[in-house]
Amino acid sequence: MSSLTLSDEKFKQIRDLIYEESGMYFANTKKYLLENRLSKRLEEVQLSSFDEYYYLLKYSAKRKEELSRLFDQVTINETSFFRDMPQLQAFEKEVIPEILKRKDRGGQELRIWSAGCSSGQEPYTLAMILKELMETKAFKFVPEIMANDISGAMILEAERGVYMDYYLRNTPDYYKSKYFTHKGETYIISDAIKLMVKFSIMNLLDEEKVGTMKNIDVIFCRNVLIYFAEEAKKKLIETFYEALKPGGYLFIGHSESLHSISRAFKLMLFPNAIVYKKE
Amino acid sequence: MGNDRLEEVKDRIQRIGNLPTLPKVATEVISMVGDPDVSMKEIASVISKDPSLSAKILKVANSAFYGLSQRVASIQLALVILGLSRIKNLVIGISVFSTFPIKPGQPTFDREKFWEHSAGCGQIAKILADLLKCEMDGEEFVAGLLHDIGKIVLDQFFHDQFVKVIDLTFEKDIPMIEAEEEVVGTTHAEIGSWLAEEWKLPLSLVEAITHHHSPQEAVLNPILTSIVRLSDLFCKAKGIGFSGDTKGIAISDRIAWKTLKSAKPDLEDLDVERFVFDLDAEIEKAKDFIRISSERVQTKEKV
Ligand SMILES: C[S@@+](CC[C@H](N)C(=O)[O-])C[C@H]1O[C@@H](n2cnc3c(N)ncnc32)[C@H](O)[C@@H]1O
Repeated sequence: MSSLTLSDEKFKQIRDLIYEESGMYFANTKKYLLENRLSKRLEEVQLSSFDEYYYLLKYSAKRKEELSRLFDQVTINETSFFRDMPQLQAFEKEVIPEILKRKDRGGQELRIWSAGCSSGQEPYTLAMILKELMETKAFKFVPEIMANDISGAMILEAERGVYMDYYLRNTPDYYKSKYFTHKGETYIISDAIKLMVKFSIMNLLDEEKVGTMKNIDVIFCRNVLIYFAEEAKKKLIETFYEALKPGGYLFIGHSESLHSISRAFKLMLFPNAIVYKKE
Repeated sequence: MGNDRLEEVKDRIQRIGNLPTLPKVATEVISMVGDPDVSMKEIASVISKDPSLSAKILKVANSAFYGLSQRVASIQLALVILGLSRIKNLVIGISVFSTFPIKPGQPTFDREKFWEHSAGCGQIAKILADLLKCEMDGEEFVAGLLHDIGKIVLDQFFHDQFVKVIDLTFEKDIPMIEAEEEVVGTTHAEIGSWLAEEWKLPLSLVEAITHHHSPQEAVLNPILTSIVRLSDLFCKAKGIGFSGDTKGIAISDRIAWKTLKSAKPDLEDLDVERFVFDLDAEIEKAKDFIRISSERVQTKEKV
């Protein structure tokens, strides 16, 4: 291993840069994490100090490119299919039926947004649930699922749709056999499900891009805000509020809270799941 | 209203001839605590005559349920440390388990789950009361514990109809209380209210049981009734109990929430997400309470 060390001063500069660019905030206690993960990257680009790396990120012509490589390195992408069943139950049994009922009185689309989708497990899960509903209820339209992440590497994975069995640990057998092809140690998601999800690279703090997300019925942004500092959280939640249709719903991570961030939403309690509603 | 039907229900229960009663000690303690001429010592001696009850009181007092820093070794000491009202409420709480013992594994109405929900509700009421600095001496816990007591009566005396109620609740996707109106003609709240009166429970408890579905009607102690109502809703949000209802609850729209907020503006600052998330540990304490209360205690033991 090389002995690249990250000085406190450089750590703060890089940390602030990451924060400005992505909203992700690395507290002082997380210095080791940046140091470890970025050291690898420094070797790849053959730089010998974090000073040089900082320069590359801040001033070079390739800075945009390098930033997205950095995001690939430092984001925490932990996820799985069917993560947090009670939330998915609320989505399937109450939220979607309620929205559909409203749509009977007009409205032609159902738009779902998975923000911070990692390697696609979350939006694919939503697609499978909706597909099941489409088979039992008459849908007048095909649901659209938009999914994005700041990490290009994750979006590539998502589009490939090939997963180690570890990611299917919460997946009911019914879904496993219906929507995946089992090949060796991997599971390949079916084309029917793939077709339902549109992936793109998006930085949730990029106002211009995020501003194009409009008329959304349901947003899932789970376990993403935890990496954001207070200000960035506030900004993002405001954006979500704008993006939702009246009557739309927002799901955040099971252990997250909007308490100190926004009072705009109405808090709805479902069995073991809290969901936010825009009235 | 279902008043005539309530009379019929009462008649029927009385005809069968065994209206469930609280153990005699409990009734005695309730009336003694209200009597200014009765000394603490006398109350201690009445309680001590029932070794099983005494043992349970001490166990609960020394459990995580109260989290006391000091060990309580006698009923006298318990009375001093916890106070008369607390002990009275504890006696009521423990006693209902001998009146309506747990019968596990009933297919339609599972009493174990029922008590889990009730004690969970009591425990949540206790935390809410603490959080909002309403000193209620444990009455909030008992109110939560007993709020649905009418359901047990329905199950015991009108089993077939109660099964229909449960079926209808699922079939039509309506609140249980509406199904009860339809099938029985009266509700578990009304029956519970009657039972609580018969048991001569404190009036604020009677009120909380009567109006836990209509907190706007409470006049004696609307805060208590609202706390019980909210706890009931939080329980549902935690999926505790036997109801298969998955509907969302807009907590801030609820009358109980509004009532409580106007009396205790601090409620507005409650981080509901955190609160609900942290309830798991509390629910465990409630289970402790059930476990201790429904234990069969060796009565030879000297306490
Ligand atoms: C822990 S994963 C959560 C994945 C999924 N939502 C779930 O709950 O299973 C967090 C994801 O958020 C992404 N992320 C972090 N900051 C982001 C930003 N500013 N814009 C978009 N995505 C971001 C990360 O790349 C990562 O894939």
